[in-house]
Amino acid sequence: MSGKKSSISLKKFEQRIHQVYAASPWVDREELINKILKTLKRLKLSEDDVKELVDMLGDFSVDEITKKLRERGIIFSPMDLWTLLERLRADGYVRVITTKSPKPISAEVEAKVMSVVEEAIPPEERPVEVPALPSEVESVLSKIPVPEVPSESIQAATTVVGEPAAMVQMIPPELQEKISIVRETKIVERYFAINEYLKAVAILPREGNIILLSMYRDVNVADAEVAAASTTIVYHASQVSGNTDLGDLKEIIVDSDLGYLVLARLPGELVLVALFSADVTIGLMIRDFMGLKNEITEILSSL
Amino acid sequence: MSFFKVISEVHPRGLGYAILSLIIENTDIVYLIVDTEEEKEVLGEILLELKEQFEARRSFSSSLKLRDFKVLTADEYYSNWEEYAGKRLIFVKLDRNLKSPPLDKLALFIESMWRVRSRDPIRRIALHMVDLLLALDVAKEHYKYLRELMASEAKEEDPKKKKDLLKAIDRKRKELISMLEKRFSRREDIDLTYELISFLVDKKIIE
Repeated sequence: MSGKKSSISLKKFEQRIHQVYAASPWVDREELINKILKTLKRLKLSEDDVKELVDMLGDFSVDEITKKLRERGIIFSPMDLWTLLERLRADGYVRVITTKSPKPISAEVEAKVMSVVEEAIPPEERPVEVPALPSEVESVLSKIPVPEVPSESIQAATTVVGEPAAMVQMIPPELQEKISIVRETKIVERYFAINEYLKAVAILPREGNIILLSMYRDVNVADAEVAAASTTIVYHASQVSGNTDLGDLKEIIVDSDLGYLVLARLPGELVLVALFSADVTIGLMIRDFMGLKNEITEILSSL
Repeated sequence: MSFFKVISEVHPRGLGYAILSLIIENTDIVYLIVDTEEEKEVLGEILLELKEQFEARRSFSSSLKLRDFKVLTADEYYSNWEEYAGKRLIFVKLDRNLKSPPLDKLALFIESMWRVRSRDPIRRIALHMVDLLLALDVAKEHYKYLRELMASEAKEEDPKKKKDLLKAIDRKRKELISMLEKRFSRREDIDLTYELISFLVDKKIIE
């Protein structure tokens, strides 16, 4: 029963960005434009931008409108648009009249799911040359008996902890299911398709020892150093924002010469990491990262 | 589940929106989405009664028709939503807040049936709606003529002719309202018929 319910929630989640919203036939165009301008607070849109948006209602889906607005330089994530339209819907200005068939996502990305982080290969250790002991010390040492060590303790000491397969098996099945649902919904691919500057996305547990999901093109952030650093930075930053009464941590941006690493917490002690190339505009990067984070959060919290 | 229980879930506006969709949507079939099997059953029963009553009483030459419909539960719809891509969807609960003066009036009428717990409410709603729909057929020609007069008046530049046209518009409007007053005693029904006919003609849903 719960499996059926979660599959319905998943379908609902997939369906919503393909919904076609139309203005109520009884609402005047100007009235709708004014309502949108009043409803938008954080997103600054000009009246002309809103007119563009209103003209597309009734013909295009949320997904299509987002892409068309971006072509015109209007930065909206699908989540921003869907949230706006749902607010207008609740107030009776628009309604859903149909849906569009989902089109295949064109972004080509590589993916790794439930993999152990790739440890950086340590440099080959060269034997350290130790000067020979003086002959009188050597003669004393040779007389000391070698203590007998019980064989059980030797076995215990040689047991290998944290083998890759065992580590992956340690991931709770519910979490594995949630991650596979995130994968199935193709949320990450959608953001790759709409944002050419997005280079990699990873979801990590707090310990940073396993990559729950890693998707990338051209680069790969799923290595041990990035994983460990990301989880540590997020949890320290989260503690700092809590201790200093700054409220909840939204995101952390690591700004470097060749790109931006954006990090945030997800429900269930998880961390979301995204890598954007250096030529992305900050507004576009934050909008898409927040959209991606909110969509993944919704899936992780709803199941 | 009874009619009254279902209406308390979908609200009079939800039922009103479902009925309105059969009248105003410019498509052959509408897909109505509700939450539960009980809602699906009761809503289906009401809409079927409405269609049957209308088909039995409509004039042979009537250009007005009610759309075909299919009621789906949310689970039925979402589990196969891709199959309904491109179809006209009516989310009965999610879109019942739609800003629409005809819907306001329709909801008021349904609410009155619901509040007084009238006997045989499904049949009464269907019969009343059919009365309204039959009136639309008669009102259509009056409204079309009224619209022509209004269009001529907007174009006319000669002040004397403009004044004459304004008088004619006023006369025709009164005539239309008086025709509706002979059929209905309640002001809401007259307004609802007027709003529906103006919508259907203006949007060219009926010719």
